[in-house]
Amino acid sequence: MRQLIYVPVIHSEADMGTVAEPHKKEFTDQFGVCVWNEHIKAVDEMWEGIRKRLCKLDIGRSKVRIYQDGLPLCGREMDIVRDVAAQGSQNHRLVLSLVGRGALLEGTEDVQLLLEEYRYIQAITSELEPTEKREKAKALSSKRKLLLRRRDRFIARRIDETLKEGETGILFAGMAHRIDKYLANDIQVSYLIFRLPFSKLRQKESL
Amino acid sequence: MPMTSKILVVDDEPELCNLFSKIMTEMGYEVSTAVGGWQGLAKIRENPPDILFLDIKMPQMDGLECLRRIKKIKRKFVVVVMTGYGDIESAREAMRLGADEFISKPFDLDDLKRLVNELVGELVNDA
Repeated sequence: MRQLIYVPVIHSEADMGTVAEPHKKEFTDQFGVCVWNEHIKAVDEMWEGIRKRLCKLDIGRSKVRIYQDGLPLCGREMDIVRDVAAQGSQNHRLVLSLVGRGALLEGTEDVQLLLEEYRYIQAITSELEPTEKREKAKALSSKRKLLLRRRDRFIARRIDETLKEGETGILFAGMAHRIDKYLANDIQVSYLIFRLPFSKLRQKESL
Repeated sequence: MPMTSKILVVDDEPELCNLFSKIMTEMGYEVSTAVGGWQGLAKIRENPPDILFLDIKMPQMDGLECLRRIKKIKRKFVVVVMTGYGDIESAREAMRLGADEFISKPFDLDDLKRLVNELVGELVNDA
């Protein structure tokens, strides 16, 4: 039997690499530093809860593979995770800790699809006025949704190709993903949710 | 924002309602409980809370249906949806319906207390 623990998450800016800094600036300009700190605190708490719950799971005897949304299949997966963890990402710190306990890190996403998403984000964030940003985001919305489904299908295929009989996968994926919809039928999926601070996500999306 | 925050807990398990009531009353909050969605909606209309804890899996009217009805009224309170299952579909639906937080049972009591204090803190800051 192949098992997958699906961990739906809300990403923090620290998980976002190069697009993090402009996003933080926009957020603090609009909502202030206090709200930003609350946002970070809530997301940090979510990660702490996920970490505790993962530690309690009995997965010690099976081989564990980690899948991470946003992590390209490129041969430099560990370097990327280390870099993003060093920038403060709780998500990537947890991945590092699981790897330290013997889990295998898998490149999860297609580089080309991630680049496409990056270009969309850049197109939105490069607009100077909030109204123009919203207009651009609206205009690109259906294209981004289609792209997200292509990413989901790629991730599901990648899991199918790498997760072996008797192994357990742990998949960290943002709330908008629907990877579970595309997974192979013989993969038994369980979900691990500690806390999802939706209001924080909404504040970010309103930018 | 009143001096004492009002918390309403809607769950079909009376034991959980009692536990919430005991803990949050000890924390200094004004707590009321409702067993089931219908009773919950009636209490919301009668005396709107500052924070609503709403269970997803309830007979007759579940938490998501309750949330749909709450969405139709102009609410100014925080909605925390709870589930006993790692139910991602319910989580997505709750997010779409405007829930502010989604938490999964079983709770660690310290985590729960931290969350309540955090939400009350945000309400005070917003007031």
